[in-house]
Amino acid sequence: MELNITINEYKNSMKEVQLSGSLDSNSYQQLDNEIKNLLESAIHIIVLNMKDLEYISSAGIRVIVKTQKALKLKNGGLYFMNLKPQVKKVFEIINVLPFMQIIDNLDEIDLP
Amino acid sequence: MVVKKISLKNQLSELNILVDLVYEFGNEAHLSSETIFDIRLATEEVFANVVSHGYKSPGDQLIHITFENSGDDMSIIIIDSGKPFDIEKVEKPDINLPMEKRKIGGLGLFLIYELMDEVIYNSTAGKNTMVFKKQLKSHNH
Repeated sequence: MELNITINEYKNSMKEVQLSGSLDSNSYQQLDNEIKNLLESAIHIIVLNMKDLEYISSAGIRVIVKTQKALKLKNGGLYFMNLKPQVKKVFEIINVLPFMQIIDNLDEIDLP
Repeated sequence: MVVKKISLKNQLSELNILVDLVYEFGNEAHLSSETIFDIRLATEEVFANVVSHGYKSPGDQLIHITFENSGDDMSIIIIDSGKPFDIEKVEKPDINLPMEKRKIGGLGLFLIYELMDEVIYNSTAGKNTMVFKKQLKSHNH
């Protein structure tokens, strides 16, 4: 039930953040801290790869909303990959799916 | 009928114990993995709300949680002695706004209402009781 975060350098302005486990009230702080560090750097594109994310609650969604706001201010972007059905369902309930940039692979992102 | 009860301290680190009990209850009551997910999410949302907003600081105050199923429905009862909240006054999130325009709060309660069929909240004499009910779809084994 813990959260594991792996950060992969992709191109210099972009990082892929791989999440596995549970993003909940007990673990959201870990992701919040990692993203805070990324936002302080030159990174302006973040890809959240949710291939092994089994669970998300409103605490996790709050981190995502916060990240989206911050990246928008940096003229950057937040992308999502590999959402599991149960995670997708939570995004669906709060109606954020239409506003999310969901991609199948990293090559789809146009970098300046 | 499956009944599971637990008393947890008002600390977010207790969440893992709660999640284990949700799975134990769900498996013994033969609930589908989708229903177990819904119960886990609704229970976490209320527990996190009570811990974060009901008390001045985390500590040893007890929050009592009961899960029970009978026939085609199940209920979750959460009792705490923290600050009561006015459920009607919790602002509903505007779910038509793009993500970056959304407010950060109010999502937990919104999810609970969407996931459960009935939500009853009552606060009397320093005791807050929240009851969730959910109809169960039969699960084939």
